[in-house]
Amino acid sequence: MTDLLVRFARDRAALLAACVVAGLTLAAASAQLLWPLDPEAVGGPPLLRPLVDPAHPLGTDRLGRDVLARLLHGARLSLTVAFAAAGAATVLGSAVGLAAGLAGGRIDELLMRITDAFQTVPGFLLALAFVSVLGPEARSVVLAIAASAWTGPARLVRAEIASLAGRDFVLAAVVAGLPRLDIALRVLLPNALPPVVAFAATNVASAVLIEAALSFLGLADPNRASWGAMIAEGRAVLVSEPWLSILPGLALLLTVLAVNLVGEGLNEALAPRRARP
Amino acid sequence: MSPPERSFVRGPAWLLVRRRLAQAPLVLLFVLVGAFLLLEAAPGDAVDAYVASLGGDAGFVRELRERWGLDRSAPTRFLLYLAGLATGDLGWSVAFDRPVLAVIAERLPVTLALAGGATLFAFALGTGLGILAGARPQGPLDRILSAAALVLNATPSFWLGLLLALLFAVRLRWLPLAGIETIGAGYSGLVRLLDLARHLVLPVLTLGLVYAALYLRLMRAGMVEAWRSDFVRAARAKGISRRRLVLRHVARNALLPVVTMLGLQSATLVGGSVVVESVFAVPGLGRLAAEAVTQRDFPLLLGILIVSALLVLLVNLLVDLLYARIDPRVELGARTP
Repeated sequence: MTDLLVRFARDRAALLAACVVAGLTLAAASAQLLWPLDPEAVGGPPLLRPLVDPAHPLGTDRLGRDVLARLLHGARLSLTVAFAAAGAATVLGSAVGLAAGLAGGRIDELLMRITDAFQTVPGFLLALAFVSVLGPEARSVVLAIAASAWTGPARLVRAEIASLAGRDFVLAAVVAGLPRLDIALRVLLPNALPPVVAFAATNVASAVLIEAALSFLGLADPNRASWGAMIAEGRAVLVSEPWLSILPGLALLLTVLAVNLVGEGLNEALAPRRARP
Repeated sequence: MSPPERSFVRGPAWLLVRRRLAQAPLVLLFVLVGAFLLLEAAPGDAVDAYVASLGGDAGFVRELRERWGLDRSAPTRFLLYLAGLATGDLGWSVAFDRPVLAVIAERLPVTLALAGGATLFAFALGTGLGILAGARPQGPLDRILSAAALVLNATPSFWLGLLLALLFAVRLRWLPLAGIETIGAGYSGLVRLLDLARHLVLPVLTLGLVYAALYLRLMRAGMVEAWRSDFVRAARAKGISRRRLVLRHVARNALLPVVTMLGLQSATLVGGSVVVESVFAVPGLGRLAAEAVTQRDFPLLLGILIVSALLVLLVNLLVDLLYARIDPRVELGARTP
């Protein structure tokens, strides 16, 4: 584990990205402390430009709501939804992959065809369908994203189990008479997890983008500040006041970029034998 | 001696094609059952939505429920739906008050043009720049291209679309801002086609750029890998020109993962077209899906889910065939005299 961290920290881009993600998370979590303005309250004149009024450093939107406060609260929603969705997808996917890899035969075949089916329906369309059925709350958005994101971890864990099955330490556990469930959860799963963890970062990044796209289309909770909805709201005044759409877009870009770089760093750190070019 | 003839029947990838074909019906059945069950869980049925948007009294509601078979049990309705599907009947669109298939058929060509154009653009740009980047890994050009791809890969497509629209349609006025054709212009023939193409430029760029970044990164990564392999070292030792080495040996092998990704991305491409079509008001399947959701038109949404799943299956099969064609590995054991 320390080995892994040392290898990860050697990659300067990944380290910097990890700091950005940590900073964003911290800022999102302490939004009220950091910038106590209410993101929903009309607190100033409408369409105030950024860097004009120190009371609203990033300006105000069409209704006179503080853009900085909305960005911070948008970060909170975005990160909460993304981490929850990626977490749910990783747990569910790992369970399916573990079951398929261990059971083999017909059950494996059945589970993999279900996985195929979920991968065949475009993920964003599936998310749309889920949100339209479950409603626009953040909870349904999490489920909607996880509904298509679990297939990646499922395939990864299944493949890992298949490659681990014949290894000596697994055979030793079998010979030692460990119960099957213990072998599955204590021997196989921990060894299958590293690539899944790296993949989870990819899922977080795409979850951020899906959440933003859903709220951009007006399909997420309209009462909570979110980056996608901010971009959509800014569209009405895009020509005269483009920063209203540009700022939340930059926030999205920075977040996704940082999360992607962390994922890549993890991947490299986990596969040290594949030397960097 | 003539070189061994390459017929794709011999490649190991051909086995994959056959397996995929055998699995497709079961996968499709799961898609049907899953989509049906999901939309079954929605509050209210199609009749509620229909009456909510178009009005009607209790007698009409009862009659409509009977006509659409909504008074039967869920399993019966699923079987009826399957039977309808076999004859090309996808049900009745509540929001459009027309058959679902007719509505989809009207919107599908636009999305196919958009997604196809975006794929071609992304593939050409991505592999082209990827070859430039991968020709000299860690060189100055590679650093610039790789960084640009990294940023583009993290860019939300709908935001990129707005920025492109702001620049090219509003400020520079080079391209139309939205829609699919100039309304009321009454163009026909070639002029109309050009008009359509002009309207599709920005949506295609928006959707394609993100994938171009992905293909660039894949192509480059594949080439970095190939530079280290034995056959490239051997080719180098033979003293062939660098240009030939890069194109014939290194890039060729890096192309395979890109082709695989082409198939894998077909599903996300359809998903991505939802937002891009909404940004540019393109009347395609993606925007139709968003409309179906906001108008709670579940029969239409079900139809879109199924048609897009069929499309994805088909594209993946085609990509597998293409892969089998260009896969340089030849299964010698399978060769029959």
